[in-house]
Amino acid sequence: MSSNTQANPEYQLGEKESTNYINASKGLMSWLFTIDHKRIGLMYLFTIMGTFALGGFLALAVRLELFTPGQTIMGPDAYNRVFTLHGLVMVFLFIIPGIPAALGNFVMPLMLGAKDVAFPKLNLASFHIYVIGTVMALYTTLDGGVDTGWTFYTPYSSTIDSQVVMMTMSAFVLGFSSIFTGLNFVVTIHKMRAPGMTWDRLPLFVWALYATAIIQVMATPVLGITLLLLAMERVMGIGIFDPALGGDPVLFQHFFWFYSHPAVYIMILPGMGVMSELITTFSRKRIFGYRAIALSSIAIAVISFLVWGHHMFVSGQSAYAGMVFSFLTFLVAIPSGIKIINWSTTLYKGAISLDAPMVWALSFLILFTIGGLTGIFLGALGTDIHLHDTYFVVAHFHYVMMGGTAMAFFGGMHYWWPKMFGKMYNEFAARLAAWTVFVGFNVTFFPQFIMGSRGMPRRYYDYLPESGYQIFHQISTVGSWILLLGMLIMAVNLFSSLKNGKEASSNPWEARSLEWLTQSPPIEHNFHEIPTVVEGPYEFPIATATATPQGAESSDP
Amino acid sequence: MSTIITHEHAHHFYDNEQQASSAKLGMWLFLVTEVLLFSGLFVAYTVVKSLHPEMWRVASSQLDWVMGSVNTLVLITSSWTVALAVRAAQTNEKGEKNSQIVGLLAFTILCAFGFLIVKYFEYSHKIHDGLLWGKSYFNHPEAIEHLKEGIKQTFSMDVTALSSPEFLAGLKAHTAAGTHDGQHLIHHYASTVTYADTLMTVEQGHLFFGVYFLLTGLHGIHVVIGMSVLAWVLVLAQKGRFYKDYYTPVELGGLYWHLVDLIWIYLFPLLYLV
Amino acid sequence: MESTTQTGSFWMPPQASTTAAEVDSLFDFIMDLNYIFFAIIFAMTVYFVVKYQKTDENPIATSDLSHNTVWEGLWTFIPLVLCLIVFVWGFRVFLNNTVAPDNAMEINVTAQKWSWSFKYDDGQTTSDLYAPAGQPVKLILKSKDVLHSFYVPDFRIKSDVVPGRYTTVWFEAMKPGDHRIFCTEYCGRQHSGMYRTVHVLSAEDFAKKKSDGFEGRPEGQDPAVWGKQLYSKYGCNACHGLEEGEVKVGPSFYGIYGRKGETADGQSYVANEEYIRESIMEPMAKIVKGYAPAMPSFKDQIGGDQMDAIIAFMKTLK
Repeated sequence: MSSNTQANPEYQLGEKESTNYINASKGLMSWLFTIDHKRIGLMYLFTIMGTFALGGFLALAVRLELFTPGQTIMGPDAYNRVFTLHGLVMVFLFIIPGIPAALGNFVMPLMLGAKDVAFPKLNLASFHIYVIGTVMALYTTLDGGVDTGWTFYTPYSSTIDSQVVMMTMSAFVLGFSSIFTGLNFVVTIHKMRAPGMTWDRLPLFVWALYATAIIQVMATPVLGITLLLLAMERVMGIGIFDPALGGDPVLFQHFFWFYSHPAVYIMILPGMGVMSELITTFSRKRIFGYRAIALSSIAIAVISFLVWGHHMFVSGQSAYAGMVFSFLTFLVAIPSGIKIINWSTTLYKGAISLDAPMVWALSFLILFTIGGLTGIFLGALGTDIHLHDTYFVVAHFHYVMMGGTAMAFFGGMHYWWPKMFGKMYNEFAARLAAWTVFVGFNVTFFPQFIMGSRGMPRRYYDYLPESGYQIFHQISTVGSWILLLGMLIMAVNLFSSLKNGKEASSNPWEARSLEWLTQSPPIEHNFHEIPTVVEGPYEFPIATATATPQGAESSDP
Repeated sequence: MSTIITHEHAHHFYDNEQQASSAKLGMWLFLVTEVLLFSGLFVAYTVVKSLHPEMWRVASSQLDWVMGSVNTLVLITSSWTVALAVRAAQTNEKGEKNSQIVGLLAFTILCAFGFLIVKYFEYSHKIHDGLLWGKSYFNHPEAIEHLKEGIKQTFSMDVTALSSPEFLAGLKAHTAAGTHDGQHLIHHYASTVTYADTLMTVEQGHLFFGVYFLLTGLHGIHVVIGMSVLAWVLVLAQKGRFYKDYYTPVELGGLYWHLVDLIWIYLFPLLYLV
Repeated sequence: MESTTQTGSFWMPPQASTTAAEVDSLFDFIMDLNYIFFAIIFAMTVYFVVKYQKTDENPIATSDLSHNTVWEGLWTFIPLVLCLIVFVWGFRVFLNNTVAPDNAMEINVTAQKWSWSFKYDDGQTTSDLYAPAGQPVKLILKSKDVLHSFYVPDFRIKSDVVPGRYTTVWFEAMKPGDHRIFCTEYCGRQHSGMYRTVHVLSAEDFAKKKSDGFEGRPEGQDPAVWGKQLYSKYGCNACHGLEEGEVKVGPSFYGIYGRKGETADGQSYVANEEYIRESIMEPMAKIVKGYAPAMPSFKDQIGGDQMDAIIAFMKTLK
């Protein structure tokens, strides 16, 4: 056989149906009140692009301010508000909902061979709640903003004169959206799988979303009650976190990190799921260690609940608490390491093509490796004391969160874009954007490791000119402009593809999971008939492969 | 009176069975989130209690355990009746037992209402005594007096005499002499010191009432939500929607109500009896 | 202030405490692990991507490898062992860094927005930290308002400063020199301005300076000049400018001496010696109209001589 397209003629599918989920009904209301998971996914996607742009511009402002010591473009009060808002927007409005609610919503039911999520109305409600929370956060910003940092540490947050109550209520509301999405996904994955879609035939993206959803359901209520307590502290003066009233300010940190550490995995696990899809598809090869990757997602989800104290090594907690948390932190590193090596091994003897999604995936692999390895410094008690709350930490979590999750998000977006809209973007521009972002990212964040370990504290408006930090700040700021350039290329390319893009076939990447069985864009109810699955999601063409994704009967006309 | 409507499952499910089991799993997950929401407050309870154990003992004795017990009985009864309502729906042959379901649900809602009335009296009593949270507590000096009175009763002694200079002088003399009387006095003296320590802690009494109002307030909100859910189910039951093949809303409403009861079963001993 | 971060290794600031070298050798060990593992992953990825490109000759994968128990076991086990080594090592370094020797000299540290004050066993307080070389020093930290964190990069020490409880940190400086103190827990507007200096002195200099008063007026210096130094030392500059009409958190010091005005509760005031002294000691007593009651008290920190010098400095501002 000379090429796999000949071996598998059904990759090139015939005519499309003229009606699909996008043009099935018209008008704004048909979108705002849709219960179709695909439309909800798209609405999330566009909202999240907006919040990412907002968070990104705030980051650019932060970088620009730090270009020179002293005041560059804004005063300290504005700066503190800007970096706080950057954190809040990126965490609560972009990265937590990013992959699950936008990409997951669109793809996951298709991957399961289902017609929708288990509770479509609840899904819509999640989106509406998300929008309400977003509007509250933006309103708070216009109404004076918050300068506490996204962590809201007491007693600063409970005493300072700013809009903390409104902002915590916004995060509280967003928490509900997250809980409902998680709950919906757990039930969907348990109950809505197509015949033959056993747990060991689930795409790893679905496994990752499952682990994520469990954390969302289990951890987010604790955030809810924490923020509620903080609001009560301010409104009623309840005193639980106030030492003057007999309370304990460090208790807040325990509460906060009990949610926010698992939340770190809410952010990264879906990204890891996307990685497994991209790496396999673009090396046209079965994933290495399916079971290890699936189970490590679950292991991460479980252990993530037990490591919150590693954010508090210098908070005055006992040395033995520090020891236990440090130990557990190293345990949680192992499953992540296994995943990285498995992805890398999957490339072995594959047939690799460097299409745009794959470029993003390889960026993830490199950047996340750096992010993960530098985490060892922070998990080890001896070195964390020195590095805690410096730019080293800032660089570390940007390598993990942006170098990891955001790269996976963009990779996934490019991967499923043809499925979502039935259009192909310009491949050259897409690769150019991905490489530019990769370069810009490293220029921005690598210098932060160096100045961090040399002692530059985080959340600093100013630094002394003679301290030697300035050169690192300047390289970093220049890097942020390269990042901006990459992002702009990507945005222009994707949006112009909607108008000018070539038509996409139902399976442009010759992938093997069920979302590629239906046409692009999919019909309203995903599949005419529920497909029956006979094999795993990564059975790429070797001698024995069957023709369609997961061996399912084609449901296209 | 009612026409029987056979329930159709939503388009994205294969059948009723899949729909019902999905709804049930979803509800259980939701209950998990509810438990975790309260568990945050339980942790706050534990931490504050361990920071100020003496204060906790004194302040919690201000709660009226009789009213608490009545409410516990009311809620347990309502849990039982809602379970019977679910049972009635499960065994309903299209319209046969509609009035039974409606009656049981109505009784459950009545119990919930009764609970709230008792709670209202408890709250107004606390508010009247100024036993409140944070700053409001300090705005009511009578609240602290109230607690101090409680402490005096607990220690049941004429404290003013014990801390008088004459007493202390006597104590010193007897102790020096090493008499039996001295031992006795030392014992009393130790009590005085404990008493004084305890008296100091009432300043922090607001923390107990803060936690009390947060926990019971959040629980109260859940009671109101539970009532509304059950009322909605009652209306549907009135229309004859539920029978042996379709009773998911009754079952889920019942589950939610059991959770509301269960949380109270924990709250009652933790706040009133400890 | 002298620069202290332009020397040291590529990654780390200079080692100025006895425990810094231990921290750095752990840091270097982890850094070596980082380089090795990164090199392995990077080399594997690049090699595979280049070698197994999809081409007309190589249109489909040539292997159906799905797992390999031996390899998977190895790359679970080896990192696990390395992680455990790092964990134990890290914990030991941590204990050495946390538990102060019994013979340590104790200094009480109070943090407030946005200054530090250091109180020695003879009762005197300073705004910079003075410490003898070759002698363990234990700092007992407390906060007057919100969370702060005491960080000296050159000593590799850090501890949060928590209101309502005490935390401790210790160091033994190796030789005389100056090192920077940072606040590393976000504490508001002037968080980044809350830096001070540790002056490490030889044991004899320390004893001598201590008996002279660490921050007494240097011999022959004009009190107003010293007052200006105190103005920035105590962090007054964070909230009070020197330009005419400059508004920060509080009013400008320009022309403050003899200024007449109105307080928030409608009384009139004249900024004479007594008014200035009261404003520094009991800032809440008279709030100038239009400003927030935000100033902390400097009661335990600014002594009589210093107060005179600050007032002398203020008199020059016109």
